[in-house]
This record gives sequence, C-alpha cells and structure tokens, in this order.
Amino acid sequence: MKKKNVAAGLAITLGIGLLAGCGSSNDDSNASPSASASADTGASAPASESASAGASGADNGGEEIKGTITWATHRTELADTDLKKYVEAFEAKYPGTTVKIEGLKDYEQTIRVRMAANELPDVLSLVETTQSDLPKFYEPLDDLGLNDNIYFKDYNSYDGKLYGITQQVAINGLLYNKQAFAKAGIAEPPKTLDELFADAEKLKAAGIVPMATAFKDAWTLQYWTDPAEFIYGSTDLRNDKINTDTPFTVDGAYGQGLGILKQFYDKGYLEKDVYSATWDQTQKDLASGKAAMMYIGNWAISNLLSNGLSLDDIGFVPLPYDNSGTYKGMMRNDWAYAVSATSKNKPLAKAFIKFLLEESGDYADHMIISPLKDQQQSLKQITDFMAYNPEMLEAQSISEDVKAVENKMQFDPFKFIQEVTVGKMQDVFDSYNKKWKSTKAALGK
Amino acid sequence: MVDSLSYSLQKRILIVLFLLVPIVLLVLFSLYPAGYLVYLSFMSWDGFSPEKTWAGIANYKEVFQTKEIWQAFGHNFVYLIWGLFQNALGLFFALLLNSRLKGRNAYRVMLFMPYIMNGVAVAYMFNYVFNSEYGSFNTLLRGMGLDSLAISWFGSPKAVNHVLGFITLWKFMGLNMVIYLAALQSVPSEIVEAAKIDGASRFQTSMRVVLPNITQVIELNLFLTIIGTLEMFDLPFILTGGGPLGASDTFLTKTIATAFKFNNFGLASAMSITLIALVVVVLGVQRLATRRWSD
Repeated sequence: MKKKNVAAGLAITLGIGLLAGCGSSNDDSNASPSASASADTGASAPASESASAGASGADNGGEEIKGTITWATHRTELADTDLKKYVEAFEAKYPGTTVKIEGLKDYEQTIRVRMAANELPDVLSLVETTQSDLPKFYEPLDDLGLNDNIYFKDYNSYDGKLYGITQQVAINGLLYNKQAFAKAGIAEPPKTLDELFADAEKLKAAGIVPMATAFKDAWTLQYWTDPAEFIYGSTDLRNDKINTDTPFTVDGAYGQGLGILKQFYDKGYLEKDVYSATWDQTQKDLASGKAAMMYIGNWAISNLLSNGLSLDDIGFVPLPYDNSGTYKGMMRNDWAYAVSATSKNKPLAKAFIKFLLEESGDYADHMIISPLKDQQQSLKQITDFMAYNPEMLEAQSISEDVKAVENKMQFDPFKFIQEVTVGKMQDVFDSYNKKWKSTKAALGK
Repeated sequence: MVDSLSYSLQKRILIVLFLLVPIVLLVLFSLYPAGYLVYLSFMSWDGFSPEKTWAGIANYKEVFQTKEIWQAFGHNFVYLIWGLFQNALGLFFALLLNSRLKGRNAYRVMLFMPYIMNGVAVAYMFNYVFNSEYGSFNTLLRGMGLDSLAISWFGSPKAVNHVLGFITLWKFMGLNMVIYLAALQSVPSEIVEAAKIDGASRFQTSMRVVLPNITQVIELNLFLTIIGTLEMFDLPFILTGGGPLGASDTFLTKTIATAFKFNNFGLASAMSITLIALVVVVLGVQRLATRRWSD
C-alpha cells in the first residue's frame, strides 16, 4: 500500500515537473516567419563552379590589414562549403589574417540578443533597427568607395551615411514552368493582364494549378503588393500611408494591386486548398509541373533546379499587371553586410566585405544578382526578363513613423494580404483603416 | 577542527552548503528572469536598443483594452473542452485497466506512449494525418465515400482549434490515465470488497466508493489540464502558426508575436504577467469549488 502511494506521488511530481519543463523550454524556440523568409532567399543554390570575377583589386587605403575577425552569417547551409572557400581566398590574398565563420541557425534572434548585450561580431548580416539606431550598432561603410556602384544605397542609410550593403538583389517576376505551359497549349508567356487570366483558365482546364502562392506560409505572398506599388508608380506606397487616415481603399493602389491576387483566388486559379499550401510543397509542384506559375524573386530559380527542373524549362518574365504592354519590375534587397560599431579590427572587416562583394564570385556561384551595378548576371532568365525593358523600382526601407504605427497596431503584412485575398475586400480594408487611424492618432504621428 | 564544532552547527553548515547550489541555480535561472519580466512589463522596450523607457501601467492598460488579445482566449476555451473530455477518457481507461484485464500492461504502455513522444514530432506526425490532400485521415474519409467531410482540417477556421484540441487529447490522455491509475491502486481494497459483498454493482462501486476516494487526484488532473490549456502554445505554433487568419492564435502565440514580431517587449511581458495572474485566479476558484465538492 505504502509503495503504491509513493508511486502515485512520484508520478504526480514527475508530471508537474515535466509540464513545467515543457512550458519553459518552449519559450526559447521561436523563429519568426519573416526571418526564415529572408533567410531562404540566399539559400540552397547548387554551386555552379565559375571563376571569381574580380572587378578591381582592393585598395587598402594605407592601413595595414592583419589580425583576426569573426563573420556571423545567416547562410548556414553554405558556411562549411562555399563561404569557407571565399574566406580561404581572402586569407590567401592577405597573409596574416584569419576570418572565423559563425553560421547562426536562428540568426535574427541570436543577433538581437547580442545587440542588447553590445557584443556584435565584426562582420555580420545587418539586423534591422530603426534608422536612427543604425549608428549605435554599425560602422559607416562609405570609405569602401562603392557608394556609386551599389543598389539599395539608401536602404540602410541614416544621415547620409551608409551602414549596410545588401548581399544580393532579388528581382521579382513571374516564374513559370515551360513544360506546364506547353501541356496546356500555351506557347508564349502572357504579355497583358487579360492574357494572364486567359492562360490561367487554360492551365486550370488542363488540370494544372495556374498560380502557386504557398498561401499557408504567407511570406511568399508579400510580393503581391508589388502590383500595388507599380500602380502607385513608386515604392513610397507603404511610407506614404502616414499622410492619410484611410490608406487602404478598394479603388486605390492597394485595392487594385491586391485585386489581381484576389481575382486569381475568386476564379479558383490558386491552389485547390490554399490553407494547406506550403512553400516546401510548392517548390516541388512547380518543378514537377503540377503548378505552373508563381510570382516570386529570381532566387527561386535555383530552388526549382534543386527540385529537378532543368534550367531550359524555367521561364522568368515581368508580371503583366495591366493591359498597357509596358512593364515594371521590382528589385528587393536581401540581408546586408555590415561591420559592428564595436569591432576591434575595422580595417580588416571592411576589406573583407569589399572582397566578398567584388572578388568572391558569390553571385555567379549561386545564380543571384550582385549588388554591384557593374557585375552583370548573364543567366538567360535574367536577360530574358530584362529584354522586356521593364522600368525597375527599388524597394525602400519602412520609415520610422510608419514602422512605429504598424508595430503598435500589430500590422502583419502577410496576414493582411491573406485576409484581403479570401475575405471581403471592403470589410478588411475598413477594419485596417480604423485601426490605422486610431493608432496613428494615439502615437501623435 | 571539525571536532571543535558542535553537532548542530555542523549540521547547519552542511545543510547550507547542500542548499547553496540549488538555490543559486533557482535564483539565477528562475527568480531573476521572473523578476526581470515584472520589471519589463512596466517598461517600453523594443528588445535590442540600449534604452528602456518607463511606461508605468500603460502596458497593462493596453492588454485589457485590446479586443484581439482576449479573443485569443476564446480559442484556449476550445482546448479546455477537449481537456475535460480527455480527463473523462483517462479516468475511464484507468478504471478499465485497473481490473483484471488480460494484457492490461500492454494497453497501459500503448496509451501512455503518446505522452513520452516529443511534442514537435507529434505535431509533424499529425501534420501528415490531417493534410487535406495527401493526409491519411482524408484518404480514409474518401475511401468510405464521405468526400464532403474531407475538408482542410488546419485550413478551416471553425475546425482548426478542435483538431488541435483532439491532438492534445491524444497526447496527454495517457498522462491523466497513469495518474488516475496510481490513485485507483491506492484505494483500500477492503472497502471495495465490502461494497461488493453488500451487493454493489461494478458501476455503483466505481461511482460511490472509488471516485470519492480519489477526489484530490481528480482535482490535480484538472489543475494540470487547465494550466495546460491556458498555456497552449507548441501545437498551434508549429502546425498552423496561428493561422488560418489568426483563427488558432492562443494567448501565448499572441504574446510571442508581440515580443518577437512587433518588437514590443513591454506589452508582451505585461501579457505574460496577466496570464500568470489569470492562472492563479482560475485555480483559486477551482480550489474553492472542489473543496466544497469533496466535503
């Protein structure tokens, strides 16, 4: 009898202990979906061997380049392979230097903790703060002499100084599987919005998902605000919200732009069950021809390759957002290289960034677009895209005021697009406008 | 030297030395963070900048004024319903497996197994079971000709919390059962036999003799269930991420999003403290209710 009681007691304490343990350990494991989204962009490309395209030798500016630095990167899957290769090339060029690579899995969260503790690594991928906080954490990079040659110069700038250089440029376009198009009897990629819908109808009739979205994962939907910015005419759209109490209107840029995705949904051109469509599955479906198109960045080309689709079968063109026959393309930035403000060896850290950008050959190895304007990507899909002569827009950083209001009202752009797509546009806009107005007033912006 | 110290002093020194390590660990990893949480809940902080500014009770005000935060509790309530069902089922199996059933140990192991499994693994497993197109459950439904029932389980805002509640039941029922079983075995066999001799049926014995003897354990199980449902986090976080359209957000997934997505650590800390207060209140009410019941 006594033994039984002891057993019961043990079971009880064990149970409570386990539950308690469960609760606390869970709190540690949070990766925000937005972080994984951007982490994916630079990821998983098969390394096509190509010679480093060194544009110019780095000028040292008289300072001696020696010593040791640490380089923290979010590209964990490449940390032991390609990135190590670049580090070895750098160390060979500058004898007496050592670069330690630190691949961080939960990158953004880890770096944020170190930011709070003031212990940033020498070279890192810039974690976004408010613009006015940039000088507190990062070192200006203007003396690298790259200012006139880079895209997204203004994105991570404050007070005229440059604090981060994007590691690649992503162009968003209509990515499609040429085999799937052929199967549905479509010879040419769509040139107008009407053609786009007509092609979608043909694909649907052929039993192919016309437009893949990975709706459940939501971050893949963020690119669908591009048409709204095309219609608005500039990427100020999100920041200009601060000037109005009703930023979201059905006949305005947001309504018309997101309306394209909504029409796709309403006509049944998206995945059959959008709520279970994930990015993992979408890559496979696009590669196998179960799905035909997706509006996404050029970096996804390598994802289709690694899922077994041959390069010749991958098409990439601007999204026809109206019937005018003129095109626009959106350029988005990725994680940016930055040097910590507290780095003990800034000359070496800066020389290393310059080397990565100019001489590593990263962009050629991974079929991405270099942030340096004079390094052209010769991949056929990119030259095809450019043959349409699209007017290219550069994404902008979110202004401090807009960010403050959005965070306060807990504006989740991914969820916003989801709600607009499946809900009644007017109602969704009304509720967001209401929250926007009251939060803006509460913050006095 | 030791000889010169009195026995009681030696004892005291020993006790202090032995206690030192666990107390230091407790303070370092439990009390200090908890205190810091309270401190943060009165601050306005984005999670990384060096300055924190005093916010007073503004964060708490916001917690109580924001409708969305409290709507998330509605989702926790669905888990509670499944949790109560889970307790009933656990008790039922415990009563069943406490009898001289053949192979009862095998059944016990089988029913307890889900609890031992890692929560993330369970989540992934059920992700395959309930996948709308390739999932085994919908394949089964279609095989039986019930195509109309084969919906997107994680995609339907109405169904999603019940599906998650069911998975919780599957996982934690075994734990409830084991605790009940242990309690049942501590019920004196004399009174059970006496009841039988008096002609009580098996059902009557269970209801009138066994259950009144294990009220404290029932209370404990309800305690665990209620805490579990209020703090429900891992399943929605992994399986749905709070979706579709926030339909499966629980109070804790909202708290996490507030801190790490919207960089509002002050509000998130206030939400955590509110949750703790709420747990205390709910448990207090429960204790009052069950005390009257057991008297």
